[in-house]
Amino acid sequence: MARAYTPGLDVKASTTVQRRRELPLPGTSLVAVGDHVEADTPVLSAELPGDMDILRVADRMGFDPADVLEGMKVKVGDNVSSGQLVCELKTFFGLFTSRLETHRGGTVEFFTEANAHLGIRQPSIPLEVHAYISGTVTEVEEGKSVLIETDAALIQGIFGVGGERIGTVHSLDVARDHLVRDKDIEKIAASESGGLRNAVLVGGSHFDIGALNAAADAGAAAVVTGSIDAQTLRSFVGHDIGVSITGDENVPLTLIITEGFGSLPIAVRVEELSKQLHGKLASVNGATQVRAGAMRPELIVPHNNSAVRAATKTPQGLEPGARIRVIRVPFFGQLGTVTNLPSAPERIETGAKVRVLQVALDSGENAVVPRANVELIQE
Amino acid sequence: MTKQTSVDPNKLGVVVATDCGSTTTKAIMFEKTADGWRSTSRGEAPTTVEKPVADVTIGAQNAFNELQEISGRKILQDSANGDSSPFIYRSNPEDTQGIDLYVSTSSAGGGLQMIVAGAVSSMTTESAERAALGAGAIVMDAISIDDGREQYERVSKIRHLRPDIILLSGGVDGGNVSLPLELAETILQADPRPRFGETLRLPVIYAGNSAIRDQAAEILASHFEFVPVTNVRPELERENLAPARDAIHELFLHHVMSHAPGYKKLLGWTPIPIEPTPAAFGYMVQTAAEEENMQIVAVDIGGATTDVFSVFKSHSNDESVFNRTVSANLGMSYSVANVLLEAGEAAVRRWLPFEISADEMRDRLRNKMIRPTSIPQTMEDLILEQAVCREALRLAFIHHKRLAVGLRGTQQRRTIAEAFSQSGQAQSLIDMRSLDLIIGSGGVLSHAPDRRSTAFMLLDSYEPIGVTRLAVDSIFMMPHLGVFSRIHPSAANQVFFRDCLIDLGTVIAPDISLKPGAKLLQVKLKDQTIVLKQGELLVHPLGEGEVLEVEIVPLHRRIDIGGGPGREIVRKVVGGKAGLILDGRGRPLDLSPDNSQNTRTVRSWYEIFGIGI
Repeated sequence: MARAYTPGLDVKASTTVQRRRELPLPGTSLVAVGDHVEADTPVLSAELPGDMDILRVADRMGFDPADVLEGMKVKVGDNVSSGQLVCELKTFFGLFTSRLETHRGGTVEFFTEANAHLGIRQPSIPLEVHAYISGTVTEVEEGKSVLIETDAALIQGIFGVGGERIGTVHSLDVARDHLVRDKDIEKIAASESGGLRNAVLVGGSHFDIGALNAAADAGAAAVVTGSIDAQTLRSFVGHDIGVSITGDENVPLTLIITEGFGSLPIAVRVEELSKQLHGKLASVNGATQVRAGAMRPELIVPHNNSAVRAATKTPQGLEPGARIRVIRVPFFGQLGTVTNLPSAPERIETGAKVRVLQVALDSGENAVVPRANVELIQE
Repeated sequence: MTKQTSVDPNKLGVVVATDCGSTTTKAIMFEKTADGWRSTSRGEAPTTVEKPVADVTIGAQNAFNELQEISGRKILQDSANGDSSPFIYRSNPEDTQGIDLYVSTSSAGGGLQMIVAGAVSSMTTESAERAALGAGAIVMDAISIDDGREQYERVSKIRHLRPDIILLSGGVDGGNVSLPLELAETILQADPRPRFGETLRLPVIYAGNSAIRDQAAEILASHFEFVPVTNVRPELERENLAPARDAIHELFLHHVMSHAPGYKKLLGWTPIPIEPTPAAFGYMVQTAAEEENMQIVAVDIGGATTDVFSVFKSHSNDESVFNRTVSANLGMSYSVANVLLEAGEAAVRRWLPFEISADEMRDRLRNKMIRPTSIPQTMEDLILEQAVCREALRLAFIHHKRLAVGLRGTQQRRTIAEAFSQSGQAQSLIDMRSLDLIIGSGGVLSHAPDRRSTAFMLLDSYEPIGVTRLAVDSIFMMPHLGVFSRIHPSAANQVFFRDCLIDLGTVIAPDISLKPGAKLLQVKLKDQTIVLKQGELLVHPLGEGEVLEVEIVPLHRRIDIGGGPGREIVRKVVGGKAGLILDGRGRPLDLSPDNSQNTRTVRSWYEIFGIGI
C-alpha cells in the first residue's frame, strides 16, 4: 500500500546518486561502461532534424500549381544548396523567364502537386548531451541513454525553476531567516576575489527580486534558499506559474527553494551541509514535476568517497522519535519530533477521519496532525 | 456505443474490473446476488508502470491479491503461469471459487494524449476535437489555420509536444485542398516525436477531405504511421466522428498501450479492449442516461484536470447527444494555482465566509501545488480548497458548454446556417432546465468530510435550474462500471445507482432573478407548503432513500420551472445527504467578486446547510 506520509526530501552529506542521460531520438553513445566523466563531458550525441522551409512555388512565381510542374528542376530526395534554381518557367513564347531559387540549402523532403509546395529540410542540428554530474558510467543503452553514478552530497528542494547548471557552492553567511536583498549580494560579490561568477548561492529565508537580479547580474549560476513568495516568483520568471511542471523557464539563473511558498527559514540541515560544501563544484537543476514519477530540484556535489557513505545512517521510517516537518496549516513549516502514532483513524477539525500522529513541535507545543501533512526529515 | 465482444452477459455472475491509474490500481468485484448485481469488494495497490518495476501487471496482481483477501473468495490461481491470466475461471454458476470475466481501464502514464488539427477552428478542428475527446484523449493542442498563430509558432508548438497520436482533419469531401495539405506540411515540418518509444513512428490519423487522401499520404507516410479514415466532416452540415474514434481506440490499444510496460500481458487477460479511463467513465454516463431516460452532467475533478461529461437530448431530433471535455489545467493539486490564475483571486475569494489576504491565499495554494498529497486540517483550509473547486468546476463547465454544440458521432444533419453559426454558447446543447442529474466525482467532491458541502459546491458551480438531482460517485467506481457496461449495461446500471452513487438531494431553483424578497415559488410538500422568496436559500430535510411528490407553483409569470413560463409542475424528488434544497438566490447567481457583503452572505449559506465553520 502507498505510504500515508511523505518520505521527505533528501538532504544527505553522502549518498549514491544515479542520473540517466537520455537522447530525445536515436543517436550515438560517446562513452563506455566504466568510463569516468566530468559534469561537462559529452556522453551522447544525435542529429536533430533541421527546420523545414516550405517554398510556395506557384504563389511565389504567380502561376497556377498545375502550370509550374513542367518547370520544376528538383525532385524529392535531392540535396539543394542555397541559391539553387528550383523552378524555371518561360512565358510569352519564350520571351520571358521566371525563376525561383532556394533561400537556404537542404534536402527536398516533399513536393505537393496540388498546391506546388516544396519542402526543403535544412541540415540536421547536432545535439550533445553532457554528463551533468561527474562520476562513473555504469550502464549504456547504445544510442539512447547512459547511466552515471557517483557518491555525492545531495540537497533536494521542494520547487525550482530553470534547468541544469554547474557552479561552485557559496554558503551565504546570513541567518536562516534572513531576507536576502540586493545590497547583500553586492557586498558578497565585492568581497570575493573572483566575484560570484558561476556561484551557487545557498542560504537565507528568501531572496527579494532585487537580490535575484543582482545575483544574476553577478553571473551566479543558481540560488538555493528557503522560500519564495508568489509575487517575487512572477517577477523573476516573467509570468505566473500555475502548474507544477518547471525546468524550461528562460531565467538567468536556476532557483531552488527548499521549504515552500511564503517566508520560511532555510532548514538547519541544508544550511549546515552547504557550509561543508562551500567551494565545491555542484550540479544543480531546478526542474520540478510533482506528478507521478515526481522530480524535485536538486543540488549534487560529487565526492566519490564511499567511505563517507558507509558512515551515513540508514533512513528512519515514521516512528516515535522521528524528526518531521509539518507541511500544512495550522503548523505549516514547523519542525518537531514524533511522540506517538495512534493506529486508529481520528477525527480532525474538518470532520474527516484520518490517520494522525502526535508531535512535540520545536516551538514547545504538542500537536496532532494528519500523517499526510508531515514530511520525514532524512538527516 | 458499439460493443466489441462475444461474451454472453447472461452467463456472468462474478466480474473483476480494474482501473490502472497513474498512481493506484483499483480492483472492484461485481457479483450477481439474490438482490441483483452489487459491488461486493474492493482492493487497491500502487500502480507499477514506472521504473524500477515497469510492469503494470505486478500492481494489478497486488490489487487482485487484496481483493481476494478482502472478499474471502478465491479468485487467483496458486502459482503464476507465465504470461497467462492469473484468474481461476468458473466452469458453472455454482462454483464458489473463481470469476467469469475480467475487464480493465487505464490512465497510467498520463492517459492518451493527442494533438488535433483542422482547417477552421469552429468547423473541422472542432469536429476533430470532439472525436478525440469522445475517445478519452487529452487534447494537448488544437491547431487550425485560423488559430491566430504564426506558422513558425504552430511548428514550434507541435515539435515541443510529444503526443501519442495526431488527428488531422480539414476540408469537406471534395472541398478545400490547400488547407488540409498545408496542415500536413506543418506536421511534417515539426516532425514531432511520439511520447513512448523513440524508434516508433508517430501515428497520424487523416480524417480530412477524402479526395486528397493520397496527397496527404505522400507528405506524411514516409515519416509517420499514416492512418486514413473517413472524413470527420464529410459535408458542411454533417459530422461523422465514429471512424476517427474507432481508429483512435485501435491505435491506443495497439500502438500506445502495447508499448507501455506490461500492457501486452494485461491485454491478454481480458476478452474486451482496455479502455482509456475517461472513455469508460463516459460510457457509464451514457449507459445511465439511456437506461434511466435521463439527461445528465457528470464531472470528474482530479489533481491536474477536470473532465466534464454530458448527455442531453438534441433540440432538433430528440436523440441523446454525448459530449466530453477536458480542462487540462484545472485541478485541485498539481494545477490548483492555475485555477487561481484563470478564475482570478477575487472570484475564488467570493466563496469564502472569512477574510484572507491575497498573499496568504496565493502562498497556501502554491504550497498545496507542490505538496499535493497533503490534506486540509482546519475548516478554513478546507473551505479555501472548496472555493477553488467551485471555480474549477465553473470554468470547466463554461469550457464544456463551448464545445458541447455538435452532433453525435453518428451521421446527422443540420442546416448550413446552423453549421456556420455553431460556435458560441447560443448553440450549446446544455439545457439546464431539462437537466435531471448532476454527478460529482474526484477527491474534493467524493471525499469531502461532510457530504452536504459536496451538494453546496455542485449547487454553486452549476447553478441548476428547475428540478435537479445531485449525487456523488462514492469511490471512483464509474470507470470500472463503464467498461463493464460494454458487456452488461443493465447490470452496470444497477450497481451504479445502488452502490456507486450517493444521493445528495434534489435542488429546486427558479430560472430568473426578481427584486429581493419577491415571491418566486410555492412548493407544496406532503404536509407543508413553502413559499420561496428571492434571495432565500432553504434546506428541507429529506433523507437518503426518501422520495417525495412535490407540487411546484411559479409565483411569477416569467418563471419556468420546467413546465413552461408560469406553469406549475408535479415532480417526485429524491432525498439525500443534504436534503431538498430550495434555491432562490437567483439565476445567474449574483455573487459579485467586489461585493464586501459576500463574506456575511456566504457565511449565512453555510449556516443554512448546517456546515460548521
